[in-house]
Amino acid sequence: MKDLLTVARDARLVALKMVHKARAAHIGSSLSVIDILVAAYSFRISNPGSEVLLSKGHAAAGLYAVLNKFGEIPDSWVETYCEDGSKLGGHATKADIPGVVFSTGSLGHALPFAVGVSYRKKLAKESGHTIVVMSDGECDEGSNWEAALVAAHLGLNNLVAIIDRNRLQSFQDTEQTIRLDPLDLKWESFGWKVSELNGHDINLITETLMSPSPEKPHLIIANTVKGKGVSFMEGNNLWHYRSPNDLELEQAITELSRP
Amino acid sequence: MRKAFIGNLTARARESKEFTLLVGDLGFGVVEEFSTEFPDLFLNVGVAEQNMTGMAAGISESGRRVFTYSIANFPTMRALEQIRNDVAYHGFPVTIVSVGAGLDYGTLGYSHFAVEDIAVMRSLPGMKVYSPADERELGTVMDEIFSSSGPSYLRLSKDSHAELPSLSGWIDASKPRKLLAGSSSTLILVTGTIGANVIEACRLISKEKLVTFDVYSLPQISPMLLEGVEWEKYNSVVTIEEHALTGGFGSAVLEYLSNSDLSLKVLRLGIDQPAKLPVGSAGFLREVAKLDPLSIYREVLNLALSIRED
Repeated sequence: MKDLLTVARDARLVALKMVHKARAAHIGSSLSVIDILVAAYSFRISNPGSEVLLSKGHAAAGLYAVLNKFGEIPDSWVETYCEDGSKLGGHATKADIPGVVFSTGSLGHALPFAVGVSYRKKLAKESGHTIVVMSDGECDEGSNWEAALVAAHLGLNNLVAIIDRNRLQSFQDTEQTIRLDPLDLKWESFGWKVSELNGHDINLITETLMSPSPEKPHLIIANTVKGKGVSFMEGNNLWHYRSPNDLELEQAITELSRP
Repeated sequence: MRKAFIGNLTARARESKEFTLLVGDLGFGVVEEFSTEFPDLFLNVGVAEQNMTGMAAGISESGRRVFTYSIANFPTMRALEQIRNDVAYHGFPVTIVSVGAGLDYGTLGYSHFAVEDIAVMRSLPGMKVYSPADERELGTVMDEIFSSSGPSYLRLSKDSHAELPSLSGWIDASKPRKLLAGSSSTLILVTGTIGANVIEACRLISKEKLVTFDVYSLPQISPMLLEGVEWEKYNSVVTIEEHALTGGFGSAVLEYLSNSDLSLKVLRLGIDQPAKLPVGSAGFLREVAKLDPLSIYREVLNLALSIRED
């Protein structure tokens, strides 16, 4: 397999093409999470028994692109993204998609599920970590906080949550919507080990994934840029919903293809 | 019936059956028999039903049966999206258990009336809906649950209920259970512990008016399987449930009939406007809702006689 940086770059190209062809939404959300997913799926390969759950299911294009570059999803499926009858829809749906163990689409569902998985594995003394990739806007959902309380109470040190902290949600900045900061202190006070890092530094994310706490679940706040990789998309919330047209796709491909 | 339910789980755990019971901080005085002997099979996840349900899905992903347990509407309505998306859609082996079916918690008010649960739960994909009338039905329902691999909803009364009469030969939760046999061309179908009121009403009609009915109890509402019911004998059917009229057991029977070639008059008895009920004991509220034996007697007799006159 190619080096992870190239994998991430290639995944961005795939995601952009998918979203363009399908005239789908959520490219900004997909681009911000790709590096996190590359690190997570790479960790999954080297830590058998581990699973990755995409709680921010609307970044499905990003997920499928990464799985495609890891060789789990064939190109032919990618071509059909969001088409009638496709296996690959706008949210990662249960349809025997390799690498996807849980269908999401509504926010706040994967963390409780992961708490259940981690709890069972810990009791059964099974190895492997469960990694949940969430959005920051998703932290508005109460079910996440229920799960956070319980995970810490149960000492689930085999559970990791990574927040794609791109600081934007549907309308505007997360802090103007419902103030989340200090997000790190909130999770810490709930009893999690909290790490904060550059969410586009794949190596650093991978390293951090390798250093869990001996007795607490691990939260990684990954600071990211929505639309990362394409200059005119970065930090621009228009790209939460908008899909790139032909010219915009071409410009994006040119930028990403630069050595 | 909650004690019988826990007793059933305890017996199975003693036979080394693998499963998990999650409770939403309810079951005090009831679950301890199980939780102290089998701490690894039990977890109180606190007053957090959405997480409880998500966790149940996560634990069950390995193929392990998981029960979520709470009262009234908490295990269902509070976590409905989790039941829908995380459990039912994935077909996971999770059983949602609600104690306090119908008006069992009547003195606690509307928040604790479990009267729309059948309507809601039966609309979910692959969700089996069970509503046992007594502990004998509960026993066979539990056998079904443990030998199946998908999701289910188990609607239990709080207290224990005397066993209803049974005509021999029935042992399967998925088949209708004949309680009484009669000659009227009006069929009576009932689900849950309200069956006891139906039996009393029918006995009264038999004694005073010499009219007798075929009465079946259905411990399984969804999928609705009516094997053994001899439809050609009837021109009408009465359904009775301790549940809102909209979308419940009676509606399920209507759907069943409309999918068939059968053409019968249907009278559905249930709770007309649950939100308008006062507080009170289950007995009192059943009277207000016209689900007491005398009210059922009147309604059934009315129908049977009016059809006779046609």
